[in-house]
Amino acid sequence: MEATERFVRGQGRYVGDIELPGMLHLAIIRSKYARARLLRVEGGISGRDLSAVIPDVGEGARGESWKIKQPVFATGQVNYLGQPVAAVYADNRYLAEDLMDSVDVSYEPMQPVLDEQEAMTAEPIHPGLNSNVATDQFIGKDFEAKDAEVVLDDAFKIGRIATDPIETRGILVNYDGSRLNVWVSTQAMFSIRNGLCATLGLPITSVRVMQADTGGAFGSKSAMYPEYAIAAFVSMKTHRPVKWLESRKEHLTASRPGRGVSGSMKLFAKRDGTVIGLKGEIIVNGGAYLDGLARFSPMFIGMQLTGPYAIRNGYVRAISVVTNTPPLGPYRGAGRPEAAFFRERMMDLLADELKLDPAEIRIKNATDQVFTNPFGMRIIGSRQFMTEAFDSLEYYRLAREPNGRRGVGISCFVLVPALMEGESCKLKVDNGRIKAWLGGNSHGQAHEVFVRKLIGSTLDVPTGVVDVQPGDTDMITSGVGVWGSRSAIVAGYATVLASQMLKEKVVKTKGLYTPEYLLAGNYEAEVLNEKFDDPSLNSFGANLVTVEVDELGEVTVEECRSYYDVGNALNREMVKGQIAGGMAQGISSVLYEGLIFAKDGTLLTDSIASAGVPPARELPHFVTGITEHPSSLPHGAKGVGEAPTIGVPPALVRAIEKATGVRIRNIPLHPEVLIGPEK
Amino acid sequence: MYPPSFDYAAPDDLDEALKLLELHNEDAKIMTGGVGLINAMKHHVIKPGFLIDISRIRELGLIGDHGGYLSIGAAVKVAELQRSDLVKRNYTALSEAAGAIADPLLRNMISVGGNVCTGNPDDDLPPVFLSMDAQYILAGRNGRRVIDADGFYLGHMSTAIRPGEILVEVRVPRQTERSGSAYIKRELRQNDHLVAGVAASISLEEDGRYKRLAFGLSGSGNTSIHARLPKFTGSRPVDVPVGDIAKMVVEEASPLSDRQGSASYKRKVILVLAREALTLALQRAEQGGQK
Amino acid sequence: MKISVNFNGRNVDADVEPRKLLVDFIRDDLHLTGTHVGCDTSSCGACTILLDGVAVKSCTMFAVQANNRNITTIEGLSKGDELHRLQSAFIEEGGLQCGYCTPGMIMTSAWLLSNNAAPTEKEIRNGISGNLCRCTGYDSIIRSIQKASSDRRGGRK
Repeated sequence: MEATERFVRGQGRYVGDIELPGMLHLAIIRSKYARARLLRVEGGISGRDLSAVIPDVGEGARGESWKIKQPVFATGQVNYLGQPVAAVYADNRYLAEDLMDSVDVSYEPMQPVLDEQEAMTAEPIHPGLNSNVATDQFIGKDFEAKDAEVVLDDAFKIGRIATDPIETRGILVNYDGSRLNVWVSTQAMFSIRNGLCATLGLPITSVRVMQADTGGAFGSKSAMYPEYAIAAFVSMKTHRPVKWLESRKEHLTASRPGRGVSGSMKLFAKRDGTVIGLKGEIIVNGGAYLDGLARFSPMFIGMQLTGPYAIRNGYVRAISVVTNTPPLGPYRGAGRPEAAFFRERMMDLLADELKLDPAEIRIKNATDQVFTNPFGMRIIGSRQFMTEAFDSLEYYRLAREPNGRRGVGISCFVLVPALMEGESCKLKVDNGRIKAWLGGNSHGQAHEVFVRKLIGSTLDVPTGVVDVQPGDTDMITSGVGVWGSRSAIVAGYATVLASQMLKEKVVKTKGLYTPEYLLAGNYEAEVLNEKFDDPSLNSFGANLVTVEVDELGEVTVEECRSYYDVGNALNREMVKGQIAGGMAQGISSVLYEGLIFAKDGTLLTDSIASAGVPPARELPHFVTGITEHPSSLPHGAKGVGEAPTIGVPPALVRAIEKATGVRIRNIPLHPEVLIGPEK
Repeated sequence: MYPPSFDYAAPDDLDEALKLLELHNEDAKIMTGGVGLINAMKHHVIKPGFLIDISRIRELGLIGDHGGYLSIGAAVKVAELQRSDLVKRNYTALSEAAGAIADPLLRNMISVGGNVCTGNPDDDLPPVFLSMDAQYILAGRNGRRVIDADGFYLGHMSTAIRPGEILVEVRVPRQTERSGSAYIKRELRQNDHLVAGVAASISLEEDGRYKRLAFGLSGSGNTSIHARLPKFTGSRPVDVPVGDIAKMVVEEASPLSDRQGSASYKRKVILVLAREALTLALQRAEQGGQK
Repeated sequence: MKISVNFNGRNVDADVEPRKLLVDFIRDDLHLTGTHVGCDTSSCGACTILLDGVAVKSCTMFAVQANNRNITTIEGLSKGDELHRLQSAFIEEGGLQCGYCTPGMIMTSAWLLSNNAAPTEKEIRNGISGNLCRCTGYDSIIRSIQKASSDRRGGRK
């Protein structure tokens, strides 16, 4: 049965749905404080039983984590609200929760450091550190803009956001005496396998990870987490299957949230609107423990600050800091939205300063040929795209309409997909059917659709003979994961290469390729494609948003439109579905969402409602415009998944700014900032 | 996410419920819709040992027009209140407030009794009942007593219900021909705390002068607030600008600064909502909409 | 405590602890895992079922409250192999991505259409606001419900 049919029938098989005989349920005792000395932990399983640290795997991993490693269980000191301190287990979740009271934990609360700017000067949160600054590097080259006629500076802040998939995290581990069999809700089964092995000191061959149906992820489900190690540990200890399901409150405190970045920008330009250069300082809130993503993030943001514009000079200080908040993870866009927000805010400021139209100033700074920015990012010509985009979005018509409390905003960006590593695909022809496995599998993007299509078109077989298999680390040698708008590109490419390999094998044995020969035989092909880079894969996008703002600062989004170059769309309806869903997240990241902590570190937004995941009545209808300029890959694909969370926030914020006359520097926005002082 | 164990009974008669309440006294909680209660129990905010589910007591599930007043049973679901033609026509603000509660599914679950009896300032029905001079009927082992909504809300999560009593009914005085009402609220996020809400309820004399003018406020202090403005009785609406009245409504509010906004922002919200609610209520009264 | 509940047309007698949430009874005891849990504050609607034909959140009821009542879960919506028109419409209009909110969303839609055969876009937006979807932005869900609504009026089952 197709996945979609299983889902509408209620026959999905998410981790929570899988039951094994004798299964135990795990409950985690978590820190009540953002920062405290742990005076005593009595009862349950704790750091005394399992002393291990979490390795750097998943999106943005750089091989090893920072010098202060995240422990599975906190010992000595807790460093964020929700950090695991101990665990208990029982035959069902009710009994497991009852047991939580049997664990005696005492704390001596300490003053937490929550904010990235505060962390720069605050006392170090970890004993033994000299400062909370974990990385501090300059990228680009310092310059003097002697010919600058206009110099503008401004500072911005983007708050933390929970990823909030409707299915929270979950894992089921069954130790069978020799191996760990793991079912998990994930974006990256190989990361979980490698993470479990590294945490528990197990050989790779002793862990099998199977991806259960995964109810959304948006970034938070590629990392290794303490709870996974605890579940595995308890299963090995008890020789029983152990399930852990995250509650929403746990998700909001103990899963990795995204964003949390401050940026100061300085723009140098001529009076005709030409931007000569930019300087900036990016400070990323890495949370209590930093992995590769958190350390790399400020540089990744810095590197994209020129976006689709030919800005020749750039010099950025890229800083990440530790704070008493959950470790930073990726959230849809992961650095890309931050860069676009800082840059597009400056472009709008420049337009206002020079009294030029924001579209005009953007087109003016576009490029007609391949351009390599001061940080090494390459783009193809952007001017034609922008010109088409503003027409297609009907910007000029909408900008002319009388506004009052209405406003229109536009944004332009480059979507830099995550191609750092390739992806894998294995195909096996047997009994007239083709089985396909991927190294990174769907958590809502329906990979099976493009896999079937690409196999069908490459091998000239009906798509109906292709069975896309669930993710299973025992069935394919290696793999990476699903994030960074990469799957259609890298997994698609791997699928094409594996299909071509099958073709060659048929030719080798039969002398020529026909689909009949293929399906009549037994063939196998497996590909892990290499790292590749091509500026045509950095794709352009533009958004337009119109709003009305009432006298209390309440924003109503009227139009939310996209114009994205998605390359060769492997399935247009699904591409548009991705765009609509992403635009909803783009809007809510400005108007509704955010993790807000009190000064003492208490989380004030501890429900999915207060954290701001919006219902249908708070969102507009989306106009999902695309254009298809194929990439240089054989299947022509480009990325799309993150485009809307990059492009919508700056366009929306600009529209609000036009409607209210209030310059906006920080998101999420409270309506209060949009109304003047009390008269 | 799960409450500790407790015992449960769902009597189908009120006397039985009152007996159980007397028996289990402070360890017992009354459940009508159960939404607020179950959430508090799931998060261990309260840990009752005994739940008395009164939703199966037939008489508590009725809405009726009793000539002089509208009678609403405590177990009536707020969705039913929202949909009722009788309520929509004659007690418009009540229908609006019911429709402003939580979300469509929770409105199928939340009861009128549950929404009015906690003293939570975020509740939407109390401001309307306050503005309409409603009365609450409390049943106890020794009979019933009637208390004005006005005297019911004592402070944050604190009401005039005494141990052993169950809120069984709300009575809303019949609205005259030239009366009108409205309820408007602001929330930043659905199912989150609200910013503020304002109910306006007015009736006019034959010649168009204000006969009665009252407001109720949600999210504007530590519990539901009643703002009666007797000084306008006898004035003609054209002589007192709506904005002036709204300013006096704001003076009755004492909102706190929190994540939903600063106290001064909330006062502005209350001002605007009071203006809008009064304007709507006036229109409705002048059109003789409520009968 | 002993309860008797009609699930998807079948009578079930069970002895349950009063504290057991209806959703857990449905999932753990009846093994009907199409009803999901997505939050702990009655906000997300992944657990939506029909109670005597009315859509409610089964995470915010104890199983004992369902005694002597009729419950329909997502598993009870289709007639064997034949999908309910809402289920077909969600597939045809792409009204789902990860599928996790889908059963709850469909149950709410069924209730919505039972009260209003031809809802406007605004009525649908308001009507499904007790169900959160993080993937679709809701447009495709709204189209799915509109399609099911016109299919019914067009005579399709």
